[in-house]
Amino acid sequence: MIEQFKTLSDLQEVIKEYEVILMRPTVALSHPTLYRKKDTAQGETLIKGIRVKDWFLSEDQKWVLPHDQMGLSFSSTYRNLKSVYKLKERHNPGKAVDIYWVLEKADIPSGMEFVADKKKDGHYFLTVTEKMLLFVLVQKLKWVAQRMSVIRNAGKIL
Amino acid sequence: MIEYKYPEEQKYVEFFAKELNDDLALSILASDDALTKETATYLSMFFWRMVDCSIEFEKNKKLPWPEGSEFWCEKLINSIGGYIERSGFADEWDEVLDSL
Repeated sequence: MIEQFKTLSDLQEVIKEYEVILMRPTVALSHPTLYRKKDTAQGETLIKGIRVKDWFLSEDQKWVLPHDQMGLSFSSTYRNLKSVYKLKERHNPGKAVDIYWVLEKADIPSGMEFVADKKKDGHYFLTVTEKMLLFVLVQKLKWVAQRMSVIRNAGKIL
Repeated sequence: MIEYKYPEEQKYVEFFAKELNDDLALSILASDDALTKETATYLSMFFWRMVDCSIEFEKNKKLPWPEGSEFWCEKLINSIGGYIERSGFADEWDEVLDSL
């Protein structure tokens, strides 16, 4: 389903209708699932768009290992989204922030799974469930991104 | 007590509590006592003051960690926000957020 929602009510209707919708605030023109160097601090380690501390990597950083509480962050509730969106705005003053979203039950790539954060209501990780090469994870994250829908400049509706 | 996922989170939050000369935040962060409505509200306010302080700090100085303010604040919003919510003060967290 690719659809542009214009109001929060539209999005809330989807949240009611479907069990879990996963959302990620993203600075306009940034990638929804990968990071650019200019999106991160100078000393931060980024490999092919992956922030290495987000994932459980092998010592040589070539493999991504399964971990059910590490991965890419998503919000599943309006409450969580609002906080994360505010944080994104604070760090990127003057820039529009979009919300990319996907349904939990969407057809995500094999070896990946959305898992609820055990310590934070409304926060999910897109995790890996099997050992995979880092470049494979990058391909899978690009695949997920292509299937995400977007609400442009969502600050107006939150 | 707050359960941090990364050890750097605790160092980060204490570093900025000291930058802000916020002894009350430091004492709430270190305390084993359950949060109250008042301390939950204070901790929520402290979180956002820490965010602003770390953004300003990063403009002029290098943080003592390779990762930037945005990375650590993303982690801490889950650790601190989660702690406040699990303690039963999600409304207080929201009220502070809405007041920003």
